Amino acid sequence: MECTQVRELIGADPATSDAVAEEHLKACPACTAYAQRLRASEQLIGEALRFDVGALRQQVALQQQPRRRPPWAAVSGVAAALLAVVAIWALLRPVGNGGPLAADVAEHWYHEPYSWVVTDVSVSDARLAEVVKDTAKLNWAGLGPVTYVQACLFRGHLVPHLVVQGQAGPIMVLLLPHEAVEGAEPLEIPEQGLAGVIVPHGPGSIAILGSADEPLESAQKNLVAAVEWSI
Amino acid sequence: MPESDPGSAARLKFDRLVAPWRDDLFRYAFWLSRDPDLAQDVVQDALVRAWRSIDSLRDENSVKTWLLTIVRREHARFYERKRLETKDIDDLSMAESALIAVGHDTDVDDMRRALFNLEEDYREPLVLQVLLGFSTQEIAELMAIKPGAVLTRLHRARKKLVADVRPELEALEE
Repeated sequence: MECTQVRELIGADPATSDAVAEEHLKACPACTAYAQRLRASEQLIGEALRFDVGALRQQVALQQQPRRRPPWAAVSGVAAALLAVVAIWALLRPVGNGGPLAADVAEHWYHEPYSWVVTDVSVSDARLAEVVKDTAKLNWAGLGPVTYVQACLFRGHLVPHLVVQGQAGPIMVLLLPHEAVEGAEPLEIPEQGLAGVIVPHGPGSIAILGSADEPLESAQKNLVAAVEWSI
Repeated sequence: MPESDPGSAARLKFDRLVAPWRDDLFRYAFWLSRDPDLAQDVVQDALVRAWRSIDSLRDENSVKTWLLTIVRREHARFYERKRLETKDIDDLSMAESALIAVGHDTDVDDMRRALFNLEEDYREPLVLQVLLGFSTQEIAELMAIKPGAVLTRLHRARKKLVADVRPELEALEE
């Protein structure tokens, strides 16, 4: 086997154990040096590809924050007209069971099914604090372990999406400081056996969705007590 | 969860199958698209599609390949639907800088830059081999190319990376 062929073989798979190539390497110091350095690079390639997913998401969220335009910048021309349309829609839109907010919360559950995991692996306090810091202060004592937290784009705002482990499985919690509701709105995804509620909280609301078997009253009460809006 | 609830049982089964792979699915989608937001959307839609077609998974041992195939198709669909034929340079550089910012090792950072700038045809088989542990045959089947083409792309991918990150090794070859 020629040096070129051996190097092509090792280049395609540095872990190859091809007997002929190994024989060649024993007799060829140049190819041996090439193989050693390529195999050393392989570890580097692996580390480079295997980035920390949570850290990248966090970094992207941090990068995007300064790109948000200040509110006054949007109030001009067409943007002002659009705001007026949105305001009228907000005033006239139906509220209550099955209203747009409840539908959007239910739809959001379908967007991140991989968050819906029964697990005892909690996210770190630092990660939780990082995601919620622009939205709320949390006094989390007494609530279940948070096993998922992500800043999600929901109806035009980045909102914290949490999953806590309840008695009957995971519970999705969306902190919605921008979404006012007049009273508690029931949530339901019957085909998935899920039920919950959107509870008013100060100027906003908190959406809670879990298994229909989950006793959500205490979770609801604890969450309302635990969340203090910071915006 | 009560065992009598078929919806809950199906959800638990899906969770159990998907949970070990979710980070790798995101990484694969990211290295395909080089766009973390798009990767997130691709994975979300792929998982919804997977959830709806869970009955088509006949062998749980092949769940990784099954999920990656769905992610690959979903990524292609995004490009078809949204006509994302070209990348915005600003978006690319933001994604690259975010990727570099998560690292703490100069050598790894250099390699990430080189991988980021590698042609997609070369990057994908490398991701499948090194990150996801696919064999040449499995890569060929997933990418619908011949095994020989996979080997050529893998070799060229490494040559390009070495030329970019470790030029002293390339000099050895000459």
